[in-house]
Amino acid sequence: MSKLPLEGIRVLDLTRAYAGTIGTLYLADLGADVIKIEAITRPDIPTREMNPAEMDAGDKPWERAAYFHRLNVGKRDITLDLTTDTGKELFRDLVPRCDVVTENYNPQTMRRFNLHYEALKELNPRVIMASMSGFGADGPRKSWAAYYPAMESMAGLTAITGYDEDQTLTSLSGYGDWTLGTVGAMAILAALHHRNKSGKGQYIDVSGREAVLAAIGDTMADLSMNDRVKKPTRNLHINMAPHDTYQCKGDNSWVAIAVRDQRDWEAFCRAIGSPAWTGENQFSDQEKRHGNQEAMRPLIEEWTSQHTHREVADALLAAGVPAGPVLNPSETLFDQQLKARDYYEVISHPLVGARLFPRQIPAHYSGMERQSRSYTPMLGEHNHQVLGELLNMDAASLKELEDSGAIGTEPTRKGRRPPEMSRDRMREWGGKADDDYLEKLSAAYGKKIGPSG
Amino acid sequence: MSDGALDDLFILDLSHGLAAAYCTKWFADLGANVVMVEPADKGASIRDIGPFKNDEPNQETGASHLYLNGGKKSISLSFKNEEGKSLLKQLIAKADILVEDEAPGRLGNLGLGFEDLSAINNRLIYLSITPFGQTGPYRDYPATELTLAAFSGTLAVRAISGENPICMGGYQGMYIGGRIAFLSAMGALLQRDITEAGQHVDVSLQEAIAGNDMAAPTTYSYNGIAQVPPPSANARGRGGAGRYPCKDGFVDVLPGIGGLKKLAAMLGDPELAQHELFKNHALRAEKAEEFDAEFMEPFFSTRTRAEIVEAAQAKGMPFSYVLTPDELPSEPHLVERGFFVDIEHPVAGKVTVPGSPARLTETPPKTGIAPQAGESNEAVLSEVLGIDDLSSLENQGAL
Repeated sequence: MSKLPLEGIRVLDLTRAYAGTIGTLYLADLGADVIKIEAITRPDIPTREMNPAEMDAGDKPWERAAYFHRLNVGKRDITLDLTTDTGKELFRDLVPRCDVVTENYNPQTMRRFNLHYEALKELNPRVIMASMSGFGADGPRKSWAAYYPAMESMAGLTAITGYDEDQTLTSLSGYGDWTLGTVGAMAILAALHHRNKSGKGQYIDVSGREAVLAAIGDTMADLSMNDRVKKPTRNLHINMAPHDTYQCKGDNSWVAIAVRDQRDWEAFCRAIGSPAWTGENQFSDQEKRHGNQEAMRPLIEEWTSQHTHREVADALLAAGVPAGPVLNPSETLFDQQLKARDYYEVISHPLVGARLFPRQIPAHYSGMERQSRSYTPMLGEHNHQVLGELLNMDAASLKELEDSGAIGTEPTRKGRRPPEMSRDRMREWGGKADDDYLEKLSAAYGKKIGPSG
Repeated sequence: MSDGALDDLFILDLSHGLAAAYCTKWFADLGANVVMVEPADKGASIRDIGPFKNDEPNQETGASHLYLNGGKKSISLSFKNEEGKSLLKQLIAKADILVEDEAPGRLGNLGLGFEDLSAINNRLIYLSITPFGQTGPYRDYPATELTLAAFSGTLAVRAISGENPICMGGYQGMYIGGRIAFLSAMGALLQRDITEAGQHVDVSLQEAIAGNDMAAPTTYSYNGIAQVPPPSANARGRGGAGRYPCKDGFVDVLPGIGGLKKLAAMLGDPELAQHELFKNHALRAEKAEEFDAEFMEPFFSTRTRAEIVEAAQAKGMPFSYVLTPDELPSEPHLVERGFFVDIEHPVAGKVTVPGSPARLTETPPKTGIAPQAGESNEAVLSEVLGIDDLSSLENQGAL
């Protein structure tokens, strides 16, 4: 079994918040040494404070957050302030010792720091620099701010997702950010392969909105050929029917069912006990079912509502019909398929103990052993290690940097804590919140999940 | 002069589905020689996915095929036939990556599993893409875009209170799967750059999609909060967030961090920031109708998307247009960046499709034309295997 593919590749990672940090998460999972750079004057807040363990801010509220830990696991962390001369100088010293520089600032920012690609290339001709922004490095709207809804809405995805034209939905799951970060990582890997052949680095510009737009290419080709403007149509599919989510037993519980063809339909009818309505003429072939989907909903729900989403899905899957329980994200932690493939990794952090993290590159490789990732680094945790190793700085010069406030392990400016969402508050809102989550997870994973000691 | 970052790669694409096709599209755009190997009798089944040009089913004019198979070549090859299989193995001996999305074990039964083929070519990266992966209790179950969204935990959050969850438009799960499959294959390839050895890469779409998760499962392990759509989840704008109608369409409204002060200023009166409905989130959620009627609607109903979004962006709020697909090709920013590409397809005619979202400045990606079934038989066999006379293979039914 060999080493991970990116072992020996070093990434100076200036990304913050969501999209960019996702990009480097993939690189870390493939074995790269990702060195996250924060400034103690401007750490990666608010993600550093969102959803702390046990909803307890603790002594170091910036070191306990589920969001930050999820997005930065497996990386190292140093503190440099690029708005200062010292910070810039140290960064410039690190550039020749790294392979990749990543950032997701507004497109003007790196130029303002005089750390844009042309400047970095002078320091290291082999460097690959990737900028991940909402709208890309050029164009009239390059400076627009974008969170994931803007990337999706400006890409046409929102306009084709939802109940109808007045009731559109964004992903509500950060899809724009995920797409931007993922495409950033894809481009970086391609550039690394190119560098292996040519010895040359390069600059990569990725726009999140374009990354999402590239995922509705079929909609755009249809528009171009047929002048058809796709609209939001709930879960209606171009030919499958029934094809929707249906209410199951329990509170806010749903199952997805997709009947692809006549063979599926016959299997579906048998699986639900062939009630009389399934023999009606209006449902006899795919085209008629397609036209009469809404009439089928209450009839299908007569059956689904008597069972849990798991029971419904398992019965249909066993009959060969595609179906899936609409798992709450937390339910995926207990899904037997994901469990069987060891999808979630238990990683122990010194301050919050053992918690669960999806594998960012979940593929099973025949020629690579899975290695456990290091816990999410604490602010400036690797200052001494990285600056010592890479820049040969001795203890005295590191202490000097610390004393002058150039580096450190505590934010100088505390974040404005986001509104606290306690479990009680979540339940008041009609949401789900378990008090016994640590017990449930410990039982499912066969080891103690939660704070150590 | 380079033809792309991956121009040294020869890839055999035996797949039928959208996820694998998006994965190999990335390779093709980045310069790899991607050859679709399609069943001689019926073509790859991605060709049967509509909509089609003029809504007339035609294996050359499906929207997904035209977009996702752009820049690839196609050979039609029957590997039920011994001659065909032998030809395929000759190609595999020269290939860097083989991509397949058959049910687990199916190609193995045909003598084309990973072990069989790595014996022919130990540098081969064998990429398998299936709904649930090659192992585990669900490995043999069928799945679609919708059911995988359900299984991945990402569908549950996309609903408004009391209504059923709604899948994202198009095939986002399959596109996620294509991206993760590409990254996974690139991992194997970069390792091969060091070790010279190929390997089997087993990608599960359920896992790929579950990884685009807004941190929700990890969050549950931190504090027991299970992300479901909160009752405040909205489609139409409500309480200062969501899609608000204005004079010429919808604006996606998101004040962002500390944004209520900015919103107050944008609405024309910074003093409003002191109003209890601006200061108190919970109260604003409770009295959303009142808030909207008093503050949002008067401003929005009298302005265009351009006026509102420009005003918000000037204050650093990430508002955006809700653009409909027909507005995209002429959107000024995309036009200036030259994002869309017109391709001239021999059967479908001119088709405008998205270009590559990854601008590698030294090795710019290209967007190509989708091949007609079997159109590259001669070219590929001659280039790769030096076979110039196909007539005996055709007579044997291999092609």
